Amino acid sequence: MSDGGAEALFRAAYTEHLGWMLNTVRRLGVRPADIEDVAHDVFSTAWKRLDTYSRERAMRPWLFGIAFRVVSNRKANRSGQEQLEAEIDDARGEAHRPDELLEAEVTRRQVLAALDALPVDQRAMFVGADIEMTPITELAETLEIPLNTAYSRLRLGRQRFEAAFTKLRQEVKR
Amino acid sequence: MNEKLDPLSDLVRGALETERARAPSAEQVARLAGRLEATFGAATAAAGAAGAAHVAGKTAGVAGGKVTGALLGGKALLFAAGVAIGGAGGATLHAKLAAPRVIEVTRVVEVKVPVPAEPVAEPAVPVQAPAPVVPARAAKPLAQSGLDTERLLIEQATAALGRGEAAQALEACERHAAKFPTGQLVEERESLAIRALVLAGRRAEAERRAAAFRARFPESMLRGVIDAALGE
Repeated sequence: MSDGGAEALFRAAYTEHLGWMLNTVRRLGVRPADIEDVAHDVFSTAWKRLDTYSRERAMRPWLFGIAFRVVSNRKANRSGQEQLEAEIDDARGEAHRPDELLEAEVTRRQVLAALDALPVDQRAMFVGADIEMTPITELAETLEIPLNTAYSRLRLGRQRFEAAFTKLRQEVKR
Repeated sequence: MNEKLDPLSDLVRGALETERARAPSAEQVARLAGRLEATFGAATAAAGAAGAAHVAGKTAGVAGGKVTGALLGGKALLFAAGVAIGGAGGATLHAKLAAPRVIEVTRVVEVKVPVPAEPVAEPAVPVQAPAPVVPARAAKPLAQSGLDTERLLIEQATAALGRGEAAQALEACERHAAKFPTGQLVEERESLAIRALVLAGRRAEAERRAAAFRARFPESMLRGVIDAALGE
């Protein structure tokens, strides 16, 4: 698809969904320092794959599927040493955060921390269904997995998230 | 099929509501918008007779906002002159974008930004000093991975093109071509090189390279970018 309609559609995609995409890749586990790069990669991939988008469908689930694959590939391609360096970088970043964060921001950080307890496939289902509020059937289609698998991943993801988040909250109260 | 899911606890549901109100900083959104415009602006500008793409709607749990910028005739030169934020709720972020030299502004690009209904700890606006949007990221070490290195070179070319520095853009493209002759971002590199050649006034070379691109990538989505750069 290389007609003007496709190009206008693509512009609509990234103007409408740019801010959402930055949030989404962060929720999928991308480090703060990398979210712009990854969001850019997602839109670049979307541009190349625009012919796979059906205009009858909502744009966000389609973009979400691309984001999931970009993030998954990125994680898979990362060596242990790179992962370690990234974690050290993140730790340095955390050291500079203000002592008194607004409660909402503390909660958001706890949500992201709890999401780190989930494997990437469960994380994608949890983020898509319980944060983005995308219907499970649509997520299953987007992620190209059977509906049973989608439910299973979401169920496990919820359990892990509940446990991790509750533990984080209890640690803060101590 | 077991479609029954245990409901989330009140504690988690409340936390997820808060998370849904997360908003990226306006600076970050403007920076990424600039990079996207620099990468894809020419193609979408060519298709932009209908004007700015602005789709109504809201992100669940967050208020709608927008960043407005100017796309400069086909070359996608974007420079931020400042970002200001309005009130909470239906806040409007307005990034004033201006060219480094006098170029006719052909249309306005609006970018929707989720704006939280409550304050966040890291408000990133207003931005006081004029700052270039496209080249804003600091360079990363080259040795992370092949794709990261490719991406870095492409970003350098994109940023240089965004600044209107054709020679630097071409230099980054040549470095990419030398290091990654069959890399994953060859299409992007060739697209940038062709646009840089046009910008440098080397039209014949641009047309030759464009012909080679079309032959090599007949189905490429970047053909529109190239056609627009060449005014075809």
